[in-house]
Amino acid sequence: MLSRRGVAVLATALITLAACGGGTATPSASPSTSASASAVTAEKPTRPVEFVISTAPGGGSDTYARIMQGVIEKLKLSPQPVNPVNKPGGSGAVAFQYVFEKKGDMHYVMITLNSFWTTLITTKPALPYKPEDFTPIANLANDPFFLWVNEKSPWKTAGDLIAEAKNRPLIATGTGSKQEDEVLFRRIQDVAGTKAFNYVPDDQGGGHVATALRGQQAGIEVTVNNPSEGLPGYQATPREIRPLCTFQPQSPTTGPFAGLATCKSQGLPIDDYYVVRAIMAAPGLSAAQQKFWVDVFKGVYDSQEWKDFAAKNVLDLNFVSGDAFKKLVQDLTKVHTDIAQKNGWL
Amino acid sequence: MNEFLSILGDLASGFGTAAQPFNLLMLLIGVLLGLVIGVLPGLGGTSGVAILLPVTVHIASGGPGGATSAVILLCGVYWGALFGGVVTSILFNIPGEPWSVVLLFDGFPLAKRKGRPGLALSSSFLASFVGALLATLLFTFFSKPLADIAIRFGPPELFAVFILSFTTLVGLGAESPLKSVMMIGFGLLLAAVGFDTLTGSPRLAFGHIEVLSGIGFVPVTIGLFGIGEILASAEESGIGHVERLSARVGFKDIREAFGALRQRLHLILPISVIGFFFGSLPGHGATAGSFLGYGLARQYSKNKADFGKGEISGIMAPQAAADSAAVGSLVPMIALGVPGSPTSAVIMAGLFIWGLNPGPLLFVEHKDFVWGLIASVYLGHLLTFLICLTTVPLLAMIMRTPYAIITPFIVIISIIGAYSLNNSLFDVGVTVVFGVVGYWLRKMKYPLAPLVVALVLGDSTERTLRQSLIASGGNPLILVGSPIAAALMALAALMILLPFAKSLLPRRRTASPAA
Repeated sequence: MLSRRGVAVLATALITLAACGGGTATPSASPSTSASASAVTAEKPTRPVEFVISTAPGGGSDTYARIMQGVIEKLKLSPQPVNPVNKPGGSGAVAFQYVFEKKGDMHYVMITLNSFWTTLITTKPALPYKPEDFTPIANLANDPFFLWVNEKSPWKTAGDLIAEAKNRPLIATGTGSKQEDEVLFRRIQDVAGTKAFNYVPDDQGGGHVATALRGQQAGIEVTVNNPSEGLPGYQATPREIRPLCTFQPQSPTTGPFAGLATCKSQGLPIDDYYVVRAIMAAPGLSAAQQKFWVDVFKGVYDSQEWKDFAAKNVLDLNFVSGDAFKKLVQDLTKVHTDIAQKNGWL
Repeated sequence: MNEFLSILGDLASGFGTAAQPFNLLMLLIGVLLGLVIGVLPGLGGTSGVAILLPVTVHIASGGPGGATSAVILLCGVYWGALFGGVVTSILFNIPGEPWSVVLLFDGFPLAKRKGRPGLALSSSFLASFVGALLATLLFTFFSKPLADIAIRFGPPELFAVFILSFTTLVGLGAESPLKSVMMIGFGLLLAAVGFDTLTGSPRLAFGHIEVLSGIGFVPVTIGLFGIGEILASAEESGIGHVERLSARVGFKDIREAFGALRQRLHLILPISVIGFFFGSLPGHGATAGSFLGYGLARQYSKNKADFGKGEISGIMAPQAAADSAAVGSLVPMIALGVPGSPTSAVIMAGLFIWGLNPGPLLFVEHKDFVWGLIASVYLGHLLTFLICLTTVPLLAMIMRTPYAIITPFIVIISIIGAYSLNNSLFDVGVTVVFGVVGYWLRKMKYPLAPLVVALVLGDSTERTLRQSLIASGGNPLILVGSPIAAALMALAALMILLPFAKSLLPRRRTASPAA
């Protein structure tokens, strides 16, 4: 009798797991069915969709993906549920490989940022595909970079910082190695002719990078965080970190950083680098399938929720799809290949 | 004094918020879901919270309690998972959560070898509750100053913390020092596998993409302990443990656990404080806290030799540390706007989604939210503790199930657990391979604990060391460059030297009369 009860407890637990685990776990063991005829020809998803995220839960793009998913669900933009699935590892390579293998299957979309380019370009041994091989859907926002220093720092402008960086290697930190933050630092040293930064790769995400600067951990002097990452330290009382300038073409006109000088105006001519918050799908989707996803994410982009989120996180709203997005993908490939070449990362 | 009173006032109003019926309901749902999620290996608190995130959008915008109800629900899952993870570790020798890996060292031996599953369970629940309670008190009164210290912990300081953890664990499971050293080496080697974030290149991946995520210590430990144990017991064909399992059920065990706790308070309380502080360091948290707690308890326990064989301190200390570290991980989120653990990172993502900006302004702009959350931490732990304690007799009965019936269940749970970590079959393969490895290591009498410790701490230790050296341009003095790092390193050195000093002292005494 007792033993049966024990078994029953276990069974119940398992069933409950199946019920609540439905959110992430998924079309588990069916690579064969996923490529079935119906999936290839349908213009709408016929079973739950996996929204693949290249970071762990709580990481930068994870937050974005979950907000988008919330909007898709709330506005019923997709006839089938869209479930976030985290595939962290290899600075995105694990997620890219996963989606790449779902060729022609519209039930896999992926949120990407610059790592989609940096990782695909610099990973050794080379991955067997390029950014252009995936089906491009859309870019939903540009997340700008600011140049940040600790509040106690003597530097008032990018010019002050550059002058010092010509004398000695400054200690900088950012997310990952050969990823967007390092790309930007290497571009700075390239453009301004400074000594090479002592770049400390952090592996815990942008929020942690800003924290390292707040605490001046290991003597860290400068970062290139996104505005939302630096906000908590900027709004702390007393203030702990401050931005010197923005790498946008124009100063922001609204929000907490309105009027912040551009780096270009302070003698650091870089105004074309930002983090994209873009959506890619499995390679080889039909035009109709691609259109379905473009429409879904246009719906997300037009929602009040997305606008509020963008305002709060100081994102530049910028919807790009179709040929323009294809061109953006190519341009970013060029920018990243160029900097990788200059630094011998290839 | 005035500040103290105003905190009490805020806390009281927080309890008013948290005790609203709808919020209590959210807390109950969260805790129950968390327990189930925690019991199942693989599916941790982090994924549990992430799964519920979309639901909270509706609660935050449409529910009567707004964002406060939403955060109460998510934190409930966090606490539930902390307690639930214990169950599978103790009963089946499978870690339900990363931080319950340490419980395998003593929890399962006490439950199975000594036939006291009820005592093992109630001890760990009790320790969790006491640790969490103390941590929540610290959270209530000292979150801001603590967060200000925590923010100063960069790579050199963290490296010192890891070295300190290693020193407390020196000699763990050491019947043969050589075998221990070999196991540490094996663990470090496994930890090195995967994508190296510092150079952005794969290590020991041999061209396999899946390996880039590294060899996770959860699938490894599920294999080593869960499957390995089953293979080993298959040989003994489960004889013995059924008969030896004490006939009395339940509540006496709970009483005994209370007694055990009273004898160990001098150990548990300081460990909880350390665990809490460890948890509040951005990016670290419960798992490292639990290892440190275990190491410290072992170093300062009178019955050091009993560790690894079912010593109650070996269950209580890591569990108290893990739970207080989990509470601690909310400190940087609330006080600084920086997550203290992967789970709190997801909760923080929730704050963004509900339209709140985590960070210092939260205390000013959303006072109700912050204090409602703090009050719910007290209530949540009380609720979880009570639920868990009442289920102890029932859970203990599972151990009486004939081995032939329970074995397939453990295997199934192990496999599902390994799969659900990342929805990856690769992890299942890792679990199975390490099941065989675990069986073989057991037969050859290699200790498993040093392997697990090296695998868990190895990666972070190496990374913080390299980060420090990159920052200093290769100058090793950075490792003792700040007062905090220097103090921690000195402590670590002391931990290593103390046993030698002790062994030297008596010898001198015996020598002197002769002279």
